[in-house]
Amino acid sequence: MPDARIDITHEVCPMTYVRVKLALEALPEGAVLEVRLKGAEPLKNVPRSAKEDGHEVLALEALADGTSRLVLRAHHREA
Amino acid sequence: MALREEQVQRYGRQILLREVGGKGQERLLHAPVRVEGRSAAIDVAVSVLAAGGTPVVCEPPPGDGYLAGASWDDFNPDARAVDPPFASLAPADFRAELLPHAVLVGGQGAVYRFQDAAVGPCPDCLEATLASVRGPATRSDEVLLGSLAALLLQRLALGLSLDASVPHAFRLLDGALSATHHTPCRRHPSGN
Repeated sequence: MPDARIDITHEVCPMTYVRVKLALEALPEGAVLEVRLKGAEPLKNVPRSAKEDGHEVLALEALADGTSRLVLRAHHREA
Repeated sequence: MALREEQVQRYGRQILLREVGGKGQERLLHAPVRVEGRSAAIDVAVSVLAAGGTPVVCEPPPGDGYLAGASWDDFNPDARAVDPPFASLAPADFRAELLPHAVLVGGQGAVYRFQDAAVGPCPDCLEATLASVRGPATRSDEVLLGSLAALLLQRLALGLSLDASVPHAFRLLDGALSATHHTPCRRHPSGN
């Protein structure tokens, strides 16, 4: 069960990761964020950017409706 | 305070920067800067600062060009609500103040910062430094100076310590930026 959910299926680059980054920042250390995303660009860039920012990718799976589900664990460098 | 939607849209690309993020953007939006006087360096500095979300209060207000009137208000939207508790410091040809971190930016070819926050702002140190490095600056020098001033102010607003190798003062000479040491006042003879 994630601690928070965010839907970025209607966003385009660079706002896709901006939304995810802000959502992760708002979570406490170790909390889990579920991201619903759509399209090749966020599928490639959002997990990569999250990892570069120090967060952990727990799962990435394609869903039947053509979207994908990405699960991230928040890690804050200052923590 | 959470970012408003229009701020997320406006500063999204900057929020992506690792050193900024959402919390850093909030800090920039809540670290107003007052800039006094007018010069090419000031125009560059306030443009960079305002574009990044720092509320900039100009004395005198921008009166011409792209920084004037309604354009300036649109470019610098978060300065309208600012009532900054600026300290009263001795006049300098060009200065910007960021409190409580106590950064001053001097004009006519010098950028100055205080290393020790415990001492706080010292206008006498700034004046002494300006007197020691003052020299004619070309227009391109002023663009460099303004950009550097904005960068220093943004980094301090973000709580990023400047690299220890960054010297106290910079001198612009023949278009090149070179380091020099700041000149302490009589009250701070061992440095600031």
